[in-house]
Amino acid sequence: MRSIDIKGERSWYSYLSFERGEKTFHEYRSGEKSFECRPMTDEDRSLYAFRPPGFEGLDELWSRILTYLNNEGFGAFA
Amino acid sequence: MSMETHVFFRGKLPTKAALSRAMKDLGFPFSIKPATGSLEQQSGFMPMLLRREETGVEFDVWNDEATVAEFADVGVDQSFERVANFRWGGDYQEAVAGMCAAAALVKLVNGVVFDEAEDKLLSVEDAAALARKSLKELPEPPKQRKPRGPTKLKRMLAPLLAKRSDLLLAHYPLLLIRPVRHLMRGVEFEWSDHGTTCSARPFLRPLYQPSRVFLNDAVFSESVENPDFEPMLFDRLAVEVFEPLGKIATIEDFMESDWGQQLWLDESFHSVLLSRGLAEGEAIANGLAEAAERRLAECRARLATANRKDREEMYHRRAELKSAEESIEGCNKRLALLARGEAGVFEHYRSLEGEVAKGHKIEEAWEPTPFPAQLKTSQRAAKLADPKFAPTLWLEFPATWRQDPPSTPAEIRCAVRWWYRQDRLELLHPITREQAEARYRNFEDCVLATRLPAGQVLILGRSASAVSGDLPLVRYILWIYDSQGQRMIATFKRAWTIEEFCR
Repeated sequence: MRSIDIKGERSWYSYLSFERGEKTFHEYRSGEKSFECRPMTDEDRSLYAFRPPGFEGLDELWSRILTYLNNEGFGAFA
Repeated sequence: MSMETHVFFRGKLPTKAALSRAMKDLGFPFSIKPATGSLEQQSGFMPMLLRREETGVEFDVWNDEATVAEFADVGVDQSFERVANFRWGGDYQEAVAGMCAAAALVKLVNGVVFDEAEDKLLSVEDAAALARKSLKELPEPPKQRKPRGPTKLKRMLAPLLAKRSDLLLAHYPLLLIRPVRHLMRGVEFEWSDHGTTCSARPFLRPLYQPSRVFLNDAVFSESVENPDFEPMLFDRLAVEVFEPLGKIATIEDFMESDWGQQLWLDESFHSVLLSRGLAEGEAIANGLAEAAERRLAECRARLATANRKDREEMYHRRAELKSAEESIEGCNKRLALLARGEAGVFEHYRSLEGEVAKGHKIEEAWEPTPFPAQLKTSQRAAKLADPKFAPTLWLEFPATWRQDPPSTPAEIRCAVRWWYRQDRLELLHPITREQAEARYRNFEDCVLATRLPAGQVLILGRSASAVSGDLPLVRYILWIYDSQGQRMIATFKRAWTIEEFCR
């Protein structure tokens, strides 16, 4: 996984740098901007660096995204 | 190279078939296609063939004596009654098509040719000799040639122009709504990739605006070789060009539109003046002049206190002073225009409209019309406005080139591409699951679409590019759209190793 970019009432962008071992977060919510950089843990690496699924492997990718949003504090995408 | 050549004659024009035969008799490898009907009915781009390759030239005929009189000084016999005009752009092949057709026509009607490039009258023999000379300068055609993009596009537009007399293929590449009163509205085509990729961008220019103020992004860009080019193009022209632009009929509509709202005050000054009158125009002009004076004073003060040994700072201070002085100059011109009074102001803009219409070669479609501010509100009849235009009568194509995303969760649909326009997601070039899987295996672009249990649409796109050693770097992008206007883009990438690739 490389990045997730969400636009809407709440804007949220995260980039995963496996090379630098960090995850960055930009958030824009209710007129407030914030930035945060968190270290990448071994668990992160095992969850988000994975062999892409085969053809029609949509569920697998979607499931990883939901896990990331949940683990990193965005919550549900609904 | 000339842009236009004129044939002066008396009486009726021949049929297209007769003109084709005359070109053949003269040994010119051009023909008119379709060669049906009379030239009397031809106005606009006339498709032709050079051997088997598509080309063409714009053709129209003027019937007034005044036009003939305009050429009296170059020696045109004033007993000629009519002028047939062949017009082309920068395409040399179209130029030669025009010259050959003119040489054949002048022979048929026993007239005389005035060629703009030669700047002289040509007899029947001279015109044929010039056409032959130009023909020799055309490159030899390869054994197999396909029609070039612009010619192909003109042929595609021809049925629409036949259907919609309120459209005009103006000085190519503009397709405009006609008649034009104060606003030029339409689409501008552009070509890239050696004439194989066509882009279309909305075109809006008030005729009274001293310069062009908009350069919009293309709403469509596609290879003309794409089998779905035609339906896609006409769909986008209807939805993203003519539907919104067709609603902008008055100067007030223009000012209130997204387009008018983009303008700076000095740019919208002309519209305000011509729609709302001198008093409002003067208020803007005075405000701009006061702001310009203030800026000039500030720039002078900054220059006075600048570090004279700092060359870079001095450069910038002098540049901003020059710009401020130019603004003052612009303000003075604006105020001088207003000082001419209503009659002078409206005369100035009417003249400007004429120049712009002439520059775009749309005099025929331009209807000089009073400006709204010239009349009381109650007297502003609908005829002051440009016509509303709705792309309802349009070219119809089977909708096989696009498909909606799935409506039920877990269903998967496959396509080569997709787009999201006007809050609507569409899959382009639908393919079967088997075709998509084959593209997936061969590292060709494809997209899969499904609907998530919560109702959002999910699109997975996969594209590959070769990196070192021709190993593919594969990018996966997921787009998720919900009905509340929220969207997510998630990216994944995978670099293949040589072992994986060979496995």
